[in-house]
Amino acid sequence: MRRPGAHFIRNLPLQRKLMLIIMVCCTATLLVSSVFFVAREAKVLYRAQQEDLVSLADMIGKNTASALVFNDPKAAQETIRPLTAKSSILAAYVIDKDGRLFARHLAPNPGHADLPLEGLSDSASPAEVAEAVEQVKRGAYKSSFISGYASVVKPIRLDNEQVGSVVIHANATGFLHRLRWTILVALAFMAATFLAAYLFSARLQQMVSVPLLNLLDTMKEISASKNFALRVAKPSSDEIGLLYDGFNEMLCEIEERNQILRQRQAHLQQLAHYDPLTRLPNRTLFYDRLGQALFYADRAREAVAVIFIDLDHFKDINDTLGHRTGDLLLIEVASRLSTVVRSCDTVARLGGDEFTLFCQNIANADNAAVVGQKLVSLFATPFQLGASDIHVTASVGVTLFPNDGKTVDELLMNADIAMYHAKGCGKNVFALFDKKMNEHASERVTLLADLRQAVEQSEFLLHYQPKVDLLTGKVTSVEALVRWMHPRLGLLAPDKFIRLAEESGMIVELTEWVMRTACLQARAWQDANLPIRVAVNLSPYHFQRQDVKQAICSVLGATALDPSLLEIEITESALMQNDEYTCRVLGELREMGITISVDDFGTGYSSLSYLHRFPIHTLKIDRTFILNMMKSAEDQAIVTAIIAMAKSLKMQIVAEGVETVDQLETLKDQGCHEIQGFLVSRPVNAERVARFFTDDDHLQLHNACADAPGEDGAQHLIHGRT
Amino acid sequence: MQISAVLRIRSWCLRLGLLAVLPLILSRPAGLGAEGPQEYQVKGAMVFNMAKYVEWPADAFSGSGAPLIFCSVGRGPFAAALEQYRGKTVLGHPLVVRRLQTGEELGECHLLVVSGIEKRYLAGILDQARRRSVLTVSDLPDFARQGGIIGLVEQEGRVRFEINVKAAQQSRFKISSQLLKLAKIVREGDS
Repeated sequence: MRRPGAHFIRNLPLQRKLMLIIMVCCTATLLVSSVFFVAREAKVLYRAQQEDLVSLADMIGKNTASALVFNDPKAAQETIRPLTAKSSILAAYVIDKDGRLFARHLAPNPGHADLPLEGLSDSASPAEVAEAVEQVKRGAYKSSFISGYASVVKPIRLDNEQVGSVVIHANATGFLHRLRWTILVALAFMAATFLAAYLFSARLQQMVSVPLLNLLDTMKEISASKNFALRVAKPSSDEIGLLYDGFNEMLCEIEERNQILRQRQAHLQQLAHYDPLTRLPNRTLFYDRLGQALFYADRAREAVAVIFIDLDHFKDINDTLGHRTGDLLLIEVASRLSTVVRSCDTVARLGGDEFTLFCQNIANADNAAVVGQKLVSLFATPFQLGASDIHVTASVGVTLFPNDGKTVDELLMNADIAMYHAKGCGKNVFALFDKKMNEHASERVTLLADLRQAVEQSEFLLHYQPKVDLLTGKVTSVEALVRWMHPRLGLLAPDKFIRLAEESGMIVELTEWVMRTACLQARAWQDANLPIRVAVNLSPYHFQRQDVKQAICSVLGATALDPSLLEIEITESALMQNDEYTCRVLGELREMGITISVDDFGTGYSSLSYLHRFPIHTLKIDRTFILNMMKSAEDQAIVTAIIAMAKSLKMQIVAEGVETVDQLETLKDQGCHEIQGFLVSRPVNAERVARFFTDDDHLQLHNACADAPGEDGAQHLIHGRT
Repeated sequence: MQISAVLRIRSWCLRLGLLAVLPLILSRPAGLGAEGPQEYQVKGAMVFNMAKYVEWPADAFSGSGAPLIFCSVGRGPFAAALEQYRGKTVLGHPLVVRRLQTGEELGECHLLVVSGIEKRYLAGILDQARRRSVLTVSDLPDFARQGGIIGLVEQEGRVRFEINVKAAQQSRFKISSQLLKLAKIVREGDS
């Protein structure tokens, strides 16, 4: 059961509560002390009054003792009569030993309350008198305050013997008046003290309430502003000070946690929106920003260029120089890209070696082309990574909003298509997207679908290109080259579909088919007493899958071909990737009697110092060197160097793409072992290959073949001239 | 000492004493009979109480606890009325009551009650009492005027007393003003 007042007090404001406490204590103390003071004063006054009366009674007693003893009432009467002079005395009685009224005196002026002995007659019996005296004794104290008269009963003694009593009644007005005055003074004092206490408590309670209220204010401010950096100044070293300290510590803690939280959020934000390697925005952020940029561009009717950048041959760099170098190169590329764009543009890394960027506020397609060219020329200077310079180029595809697409996805897809187009155009260029490219891209998609069926439907066929020994002029071996007899597009060269096959993973099946077909053909030639060695190109894919030997063995097993009639051609980059495995497998293949040659030598990034460690029979110099050999002294020098190096490493040299007699002569002078190219023969079908070996003069035979009608008429004309 | 006592007496006399003379004369008749042993009871009590208002000379007592000796001489019931106070104390002195034969030496008496004695012996007794500082009290008529110190007289049916102050002084007594204010002061030879 809660009292109603308790609830009220509990909900009072702190200041009021403190004041209330102080005032209640103060008032209680005041009240008690005032009551004590008044009571004491009353007692003192009463005693003083009584003392007066007692001394008077004593005097009367002394003076009436003899009258009592000698039974002389008159003398007693005379003795007490002078009391009339004293106005405060209302009555005085002398009672003898027997209890009878012996003498009495009454003040002349009445107007006081009835006195107990007043009504008694002179002849009243001792019992009546005794009763009245008893009444006086009992009410002596009370009568002073209530009835307004003071009384005293005093025995009269003579030589230790009581000879009578004296009773005196006095007016108590003086006493009461003084008492009233005392109470008045006490009340005034109380009021003054109460007022002082009120004023004092109003100040005093601030010692407790002000620091707490300040704390409260700060707390409110902090919760309103969320500014946890605020601190409160400690006002004292007491419990309130400790409270402040605790509050500050709590704020510190919150601030610290907030900071950690913010850092973590920033970190998460960074992780979510930025590429950890290059610190460029990632795909998510790029899509977001591009989306916004398109939104504003649409409103402002401005153009936005969306550009797709892909590094050329990055995979080779990664494979040959290691992922660490690849990563460093990506970082360098990123920082170089960042230098050319304006602050409002965004460069992002979508993954791998693909970068994208968009430029806002592009005036027209020419403007975008300028940007594209600028990006391509960024790669003109080689990248310095540690001690080595790395030359890398990029293919750039450019699309324009709104012409080439309205949405982010569309624009990026088209930029990707344009980039592929640039790659198709020989790389290290930029390409502006146009609608035809899209058609081309859809062509690619169709082609990919066709490719999947091509293997099953046996649409591939093999052509063979012979290699001729420059000293003897005889055909030494043939290279199997795949062709796709497309039902709609006709015969397609490998450059039209090998990349597609590699991207789609179809290359594995295709290579297996090529190998099996070539081996079967070689087996057929072998059976026809024509031991012709067939070279098959192995995709780097096989080396990634680490099933090279398995695949070759199964084909050899299936065809029962003499392994010495099989030659494996691998690219330089395939050689360098996973070099330990490659080295081991090639060694095993060589053990089996298979010939190993490196295709397109000079285009990769192989470290020459490692070359001798591989079990290689033959180096095939890339056709670009041969093509430029007669025009460029540098290329001539490279060819010379490769030949010299191969000789010293005891390797065979094959020059690819030999088309003119000048080239032939030069290579012959350099000491090149074999040549391959249109000068000797274009790739031909298996039947024609057999003819090379049934004739003595191969070049002659070739010339004869040149007269025969074929698909590549233009090539025949060149051959014809030789 | 004597002077201060006298002054005190005088001051009391001035304030109350003189006025107290009147009641002695004007007091109404009491119920007490003048004859018989009742009268002597009163007189005995008066003598007993009177001793309380009288200061004996310093050499009258050998010490503070020394007995106060009441002697009586002569015939009559007065002497018998004193007997009841034997053994009581007056101002710290135990009371001794003695009965003397006429002509007997007063000896150590402090107070002598004379009653029912022939006139011819009176002068001799008073003379001896005066010399030995013995307070003399008697109900003989005009006792105080004849040289006694306190005489008990009957007035308006009440027993009153007369005091011969001079005789008291001669015997070196100091009589309290309280007693004096109730008494009639007489001198030797007064009528």
